[in-house]
Amino acid sequence: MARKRVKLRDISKKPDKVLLPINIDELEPLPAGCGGVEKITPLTDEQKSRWEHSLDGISALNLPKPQSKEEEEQLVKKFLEGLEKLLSKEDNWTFLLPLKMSLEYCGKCLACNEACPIFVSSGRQDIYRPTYRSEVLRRIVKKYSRHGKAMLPGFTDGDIELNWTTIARLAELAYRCTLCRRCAQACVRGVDNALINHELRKLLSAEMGIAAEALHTKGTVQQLNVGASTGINPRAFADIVEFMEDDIEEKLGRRIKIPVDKKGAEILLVHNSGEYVSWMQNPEAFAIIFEVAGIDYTLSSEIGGYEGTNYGIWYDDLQAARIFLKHIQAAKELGVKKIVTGECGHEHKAMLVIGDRLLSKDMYVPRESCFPLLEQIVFSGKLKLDPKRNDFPVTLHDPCNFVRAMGIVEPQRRILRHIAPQFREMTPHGVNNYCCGGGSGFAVMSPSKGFVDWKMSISGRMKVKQILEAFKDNLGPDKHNYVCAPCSNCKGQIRDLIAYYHLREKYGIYYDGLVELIVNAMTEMKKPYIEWE
Amino acid sequence: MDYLALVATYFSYVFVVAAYYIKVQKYFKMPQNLRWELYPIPHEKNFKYGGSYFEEIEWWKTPRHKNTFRAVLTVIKKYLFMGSYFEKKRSYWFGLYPWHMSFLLIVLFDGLILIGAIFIKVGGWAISGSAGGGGEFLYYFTLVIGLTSFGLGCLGSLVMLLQRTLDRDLREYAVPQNYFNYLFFLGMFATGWVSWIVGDATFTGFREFWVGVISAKTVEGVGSWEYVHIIFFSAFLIYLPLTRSTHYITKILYFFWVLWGDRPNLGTGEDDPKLKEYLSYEPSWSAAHYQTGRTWAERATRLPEKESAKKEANKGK
Repeated sequence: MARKRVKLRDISKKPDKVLLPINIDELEPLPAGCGGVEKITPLTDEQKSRWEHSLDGISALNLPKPQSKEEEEQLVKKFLEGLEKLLSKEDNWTFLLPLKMSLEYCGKCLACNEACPIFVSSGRQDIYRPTYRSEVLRRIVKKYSRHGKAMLPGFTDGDIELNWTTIARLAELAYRCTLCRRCAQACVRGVDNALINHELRKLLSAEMGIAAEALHTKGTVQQLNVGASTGINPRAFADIVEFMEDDIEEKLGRRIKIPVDKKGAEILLVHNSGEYVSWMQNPEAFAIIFEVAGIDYTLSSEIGGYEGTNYGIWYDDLQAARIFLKHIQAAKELGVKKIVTGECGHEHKAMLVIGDRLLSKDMYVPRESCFPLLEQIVFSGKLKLDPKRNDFPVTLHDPCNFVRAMGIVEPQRRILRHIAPQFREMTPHGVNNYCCGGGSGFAVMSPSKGFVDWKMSISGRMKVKQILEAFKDNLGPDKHNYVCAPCSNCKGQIRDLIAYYHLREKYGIYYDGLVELIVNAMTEMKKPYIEWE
Repeated sequence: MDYLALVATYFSYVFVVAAYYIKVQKYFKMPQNLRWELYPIPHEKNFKYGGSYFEEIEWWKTPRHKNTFRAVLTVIKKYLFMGSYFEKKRSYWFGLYPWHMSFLLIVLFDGLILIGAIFIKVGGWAISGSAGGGGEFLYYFTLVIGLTSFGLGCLGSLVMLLQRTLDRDLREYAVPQNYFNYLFFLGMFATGWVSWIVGDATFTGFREFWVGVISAKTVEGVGSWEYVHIIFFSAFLIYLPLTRSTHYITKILYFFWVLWGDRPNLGTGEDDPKLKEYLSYEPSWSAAHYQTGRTWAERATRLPEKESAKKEANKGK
């Protein structure tokens, strides 16, 4: 059966119909033996009656349906006001220039489409083209906004009708892209559809208060109020550190003191707090490595000091700036010489890239990635390493933020080549990698079962394919294959993919970070650090 | 027709320069955006695999290696070969590439005609196939460039028209202006061809016309088809700024300022005056979490009352 075609102008039509119901049979095939488990759990009738879901039948935002025509009109008015602000320098100085250029110069050649893993994985559905939402927004700007209006919009930019249905579908579409920016890499003119999507999310959040709950209320708001998006407060953090010291004592055979709030330390090490909750072996591994290598560092127990996440960079510049400034404040108070970011991709990007131009001279603190430091430690000889302890197939998942957004490609590879004899690459990798499918916040978003199914079966599909292909010579229930995913959010997504497709049981696929592999290779460890069960 | 062509030529050149200046200049006035680079970045030392200075320990202490020559070369290659299209969408490249080249070549052709006219007027040169030396070289060079441009332009316009019409996906994203452009540009390139076939096979008429432009007077020896093409070309110049063609210039800015804009803040305070200005802007976003102050700086350093955070938490439930 031919796939259903969806036109650009369809986005504003038939509000009561789902624009594109997802058909599992149309998804990009997975390697033989995998797949067949995918389903998209439909919303319940009660959810359908409350939430907008007319894009593809699922809901990422749980966006309430307006109760009256007047309310719809108010929301459309609000959206248009937000659009004007998005295009003004006072409201959006942060990304105005790239936004305007990306809105202005798309050649509509669609050359970027095939670069998008979501579009390809979905069976090339029109609504998931990276150009679809951008083009709809572009046409709205050209037709309706004062700042960007074209003289003859219908002639030069094509027509579109703006109504609540358009906005509701656009809002959901803003959360069907992981902001991985492969499409921008593919564009000859440099048009950045991911940036347009980022800006759309900003408009929805800053003007209309519409954002994914996991990113805003339970994300940045909670982080700013409590201390971490995971809900860990400073008191709980102190307990966690003590627990880690106990755990390390058991694994290492001696007790070490994890430095917290050490004034004047060389380094403030900041982890994604998800590590403390779900993968405590990761900050523990950092503690072991830094202790053995004699690194002068500290953790911080201040709000802003022990949580590296910054979900603001995915949807709201102000929230991003607030969190970034908290990080800087924590470093300033401790008087450290630099901040080192842990294994978290978006923490890296927020701290080293996005926040960089927000720092005046008096606020400045140097920030660096953990990977060059780990590389220096590994090759310094301070750790006694036996690569034979890692003699199993290892592949590396490249988090988009490290590679495409920051150009940190080789340090982690040099470490892996040194400590993992069976290291092999995924295809493609490095700056051409595929997103894990959990990017831009998806990894922490579970607003409805259908959305979770969507990120497993569509946005993460390409990663499953890549993992299976990387280990194709060693697949089996009794095998040990290690996906090294040095990013907390990517790990969350890969953990869920492994469970969803039964990759552990069927193919012996396991996942964790980079520092775990380093510690696993340390001869000082009495027993293997990596626990396969 | 001769007066019309003369006036149209003056006007179109002034217009195109002014319009491009205005369009491009607005980007120079925009605030410096937050960093949003995209690797690989050609001026980086490890461009080959997409590496950056972030791969170095304490990168802020190491002098930056910046290969500007390679960055410029990358841009030139993008203009001349459009390799990314060739890799990502080859069928499209076969129409777009000749079309794109024809624009570059017709501008070069026009420049060569002008140079010829200047040499005739100022140096008293003869520009012909038997003139010998520079005059002969210029004659043949202009001939090759002009005919290649007309040929590629006609071919590209037709192929692009067909692709936009026949390819379902491209058609969906097409706007009326696309079709108008293909036909309009086809007309311009075709009149160039016709003027060469039925009029002047040596392009002498064009040079004579330009001698007149330099002298601010009409001249003899310019055929009607040449005038038709000259007027078409003037219309083309006037029309260009109304299309997305500014991307020929702005994409350079976009690459250098945004996608390759990895200049780090080293804490020297170099950008502080700009930052101070931006932080004094008074945004008007109306979501609750923005209502903590007037300026950007106030809002970024003050948090909403916990009560409003709770209110936001309950939104959408």
